[in-house]
Amino acid sequence: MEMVITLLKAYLLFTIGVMLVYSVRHYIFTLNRLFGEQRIYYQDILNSDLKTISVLIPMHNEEKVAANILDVLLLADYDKDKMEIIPMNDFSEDRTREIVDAYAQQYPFIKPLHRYEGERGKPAALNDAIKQATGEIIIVFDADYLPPRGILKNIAVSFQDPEVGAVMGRVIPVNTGGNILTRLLDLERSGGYQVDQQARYNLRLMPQYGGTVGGFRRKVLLDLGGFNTKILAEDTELTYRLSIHGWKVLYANRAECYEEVPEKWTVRARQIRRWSRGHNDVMFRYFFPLLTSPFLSFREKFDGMLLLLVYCVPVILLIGLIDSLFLFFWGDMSIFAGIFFLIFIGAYNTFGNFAPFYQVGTACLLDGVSRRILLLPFLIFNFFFNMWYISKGFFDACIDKLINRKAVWQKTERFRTTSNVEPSV
Amino acid sequence: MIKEAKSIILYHRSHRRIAGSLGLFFLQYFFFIVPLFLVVIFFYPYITHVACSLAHAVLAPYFPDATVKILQFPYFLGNASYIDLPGKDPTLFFSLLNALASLALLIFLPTFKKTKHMLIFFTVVAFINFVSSLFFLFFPNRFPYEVVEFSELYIKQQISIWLFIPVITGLAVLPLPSSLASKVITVLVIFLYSLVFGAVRYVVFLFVLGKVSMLYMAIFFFVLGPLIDFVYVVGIYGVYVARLAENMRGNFALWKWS
Amino acid sequence: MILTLIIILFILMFLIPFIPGAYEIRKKKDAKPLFIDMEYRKDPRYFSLSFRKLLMDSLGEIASDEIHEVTLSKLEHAEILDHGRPVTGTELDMILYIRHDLISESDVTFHKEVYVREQTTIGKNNQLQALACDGDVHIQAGTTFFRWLDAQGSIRAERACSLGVDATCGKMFSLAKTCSFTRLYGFPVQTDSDEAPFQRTGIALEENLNVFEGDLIERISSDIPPFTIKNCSLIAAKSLTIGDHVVICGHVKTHGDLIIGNEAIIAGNVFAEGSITIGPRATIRGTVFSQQHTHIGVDVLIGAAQGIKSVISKKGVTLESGVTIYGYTMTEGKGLVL
Repeated sequence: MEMVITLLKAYLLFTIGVMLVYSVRHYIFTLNRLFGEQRIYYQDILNSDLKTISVLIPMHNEEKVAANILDVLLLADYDKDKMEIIPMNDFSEDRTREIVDAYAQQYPFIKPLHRYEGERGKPAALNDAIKQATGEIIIVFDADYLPPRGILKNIAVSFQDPEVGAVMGRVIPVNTGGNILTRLLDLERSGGYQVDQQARYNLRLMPQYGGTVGGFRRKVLLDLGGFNTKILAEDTELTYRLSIHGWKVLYANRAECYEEVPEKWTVRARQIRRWSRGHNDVMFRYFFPLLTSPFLSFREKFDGMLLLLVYCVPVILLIGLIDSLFLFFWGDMSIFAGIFFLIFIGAYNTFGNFAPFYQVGTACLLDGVSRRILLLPFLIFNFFFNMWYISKGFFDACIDKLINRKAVWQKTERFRTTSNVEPSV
Repeated sequence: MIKEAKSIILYHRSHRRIAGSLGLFFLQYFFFIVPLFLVVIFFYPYITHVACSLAHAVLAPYFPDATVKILQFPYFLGNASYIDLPGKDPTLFFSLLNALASLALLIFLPTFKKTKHMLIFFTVVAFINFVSSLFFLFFPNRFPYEVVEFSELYIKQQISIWLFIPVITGLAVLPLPSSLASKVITVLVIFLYSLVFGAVRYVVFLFVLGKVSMLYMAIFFFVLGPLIDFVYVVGIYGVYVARLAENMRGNFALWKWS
Repeated sequence: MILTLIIILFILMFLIPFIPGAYEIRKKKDAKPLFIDMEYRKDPRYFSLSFRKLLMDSLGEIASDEIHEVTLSKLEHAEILDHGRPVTGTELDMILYIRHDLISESDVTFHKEVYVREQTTIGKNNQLQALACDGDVHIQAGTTFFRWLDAQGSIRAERACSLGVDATCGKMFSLAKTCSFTRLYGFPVQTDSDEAPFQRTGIALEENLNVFEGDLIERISSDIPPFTIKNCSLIAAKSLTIGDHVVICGHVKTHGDLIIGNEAIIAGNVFAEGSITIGPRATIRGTVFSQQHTHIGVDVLIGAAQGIKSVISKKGVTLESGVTIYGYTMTEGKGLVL
């Protein structure tokens, strides 16, 4: 029994160590974003030799939003001779097909792909579309996004750099004012992109390709075998697959695009559970390949490893809480005494599964917004919510791995009924 | 010379950062946070004594004569004070009631669709209470703590909170581009809030353990402990940053681009 | 009683931090999405085009030489003239709209923006807020622009001119020595040459040099010896020196500094995390991008007549004599013609 107690205490110390590492990492990112020299992105490059692009828009029952995104893409500032738009109608049962076909009839560079057989899910659909695509660069937008006119150039220009394999832009919630969930997600997004991703870009670490508002080299992906259809987080998987093969993933803070965040907690729960499941699946597959890649520096490997493990941290914390509950009832409380217990909680820097409070505060300051920062205390509820569903996703991923179960793709529910956006000043 | 030499062109928010320096931040940290840390290190015997005196004064009338005592234990650089009073062990019926109530919450809370994020929080509370109830139900004599042990642990925990709150709030607040006075005031406000909150919470916890039930000790540690200290840390930080953000609008001297 | 108060105080102290947030949730004073300019596109001549449009929309149909109220970023006064002939030492306090040409003498100060519909000659040591010109612009020595300068035609800047934040034109932009700048845009941007122009021959003249990328990437760890030909793109994990007369039919990327030798030819783009030094008479067909400083040597050619390329350098750009850049040059530090 003593051995068990020792192990439990050791686990608690391990948890504290993990929290400390992540809190130091987040704090370094915050200081870098606040004070440090910002590494310039490529958006200022003017180049008349544009690469050809294919804009892919996965659509499954997107009749509410399909027309919106096509309308804004028609206004895009990109030579229409060098671009094509491929709306990917993926087993839709509503009017998505009719809508995209109507656009295709009017505009020859809109070339829909209709899928009603074959493997389901976004990665499979992307693979089919990439085979059809002719552009050198693939740019992906989810159907509910609203790309500004200049964003295609902003993304495509980075591929002038021969080492760039993928680029990720910044997503900004458009339905911020919906309810408390959308407001809290807006805060999380701000912290995650304005500070976290940008700092990783500044420090030449590994920004993450997020699967939308981003692009990648078509031929590189085909050479690497296309998207893995068994993985839910095909975007994270692409980040690591490219990185371990020597390609760089960039973050473009200037390439901003509106997105829709979930407005219901049940939808959000499914979303983060799916993200966790997919991300942890990628972690199982890429942990060792990452460490042994000859193309990555020590810093990239270290931060890449931390990024891979980020959806394990709530699980570690949850087990740590159960562990400490056991130790409590066993009567072995000395480990709680004083400093370490505080660090245990504080080191996770307060409710910060995705972005600690000071990262969110810094992001809001840089964004020039003010009163929304007052919502920070409400993130305490997100702490347990995220911990619970991320842990569920982690166990889903473990079971997937153990019994070789294939994940079934689930689309996030849409809420927008109009394309009208009233932005803040 | 041009009258309005508007040579600054304001770039996009994606490029901007603060016109400050790491060196200044470290300097401010050394001169303001470290002393505050040392104040707690050197004065915690006095602070804990004041907290315990408050607790004693408030609680003594509710307990039999002389059962509420202020004790001391050795810690770092001096003795820290803590309260001892008789705890109330839950009856079997009380434990059963709590267990059933917690179980009911565990079953029914997940079925609510609205405010799911708060329900998870309350589910966690219900779970901890359920475990505690079961413990008292099946092993009532084996509960390893008396109030005195809880009390000592709480004080140790509080000292740690008082030590680390300036450390953490200093890290969060000092890099930001406002006057030194406002930063120091913010850190001090949070620190004083933690002193008062810690003392007040101590009284409430002791009362509940002594007059209601020891069953709730686990909740006090795992839910209402240091975790909720960060509510006010983050809340006051949020108020400070929100005001700073308002003040920074239009004040371009505070910004740098790239 | 006191205990009750303590309990209430505890509850209040727990809830108080939520109150400002709860108020904001209810009042929604800051609940709108962050602003994204959906119309934004990268346009190097943005300031001048925007100014022209705002001014012309404000002025409408102008018949006489008068002072008009115009609304730009705020309400201003604009003076309408047929010709501008400010004499030495003049200070002009209003926005000027000049229907024909502007010729200023020395030491004139234009406190507000100027829009000239035909040719412009700026005298020595003038100071201007901003200038938009539909014709050609000739700037005498020592003149300073604080904001931007734009011409539909060509621009010629004499010695020691300071060209503001943005200096753009639709044709040739030539600069004399010791001119300073932040952004330049022209077809081409050219610095004065001390000697006869360098005559490129052979492969350096080929407009369509192949650019190998994708599969044809070589990761290198040693410098490239002179007279080497590489039919691939190069990526170096550290600093790299490309020898004299090297031909690279691809892009170059280094994670350190990059030195490009004399008369080297690079068919593609050049990217460096460190500084870039381009030796005399080198030819770069693509874009040059540095996270540090870029030094462009004598008679270097960047880009080609048919297209637009860029030189982007975070910390600074220095141009020697005879440099030709087809397109755009930008730095967040200081640009200088040596």
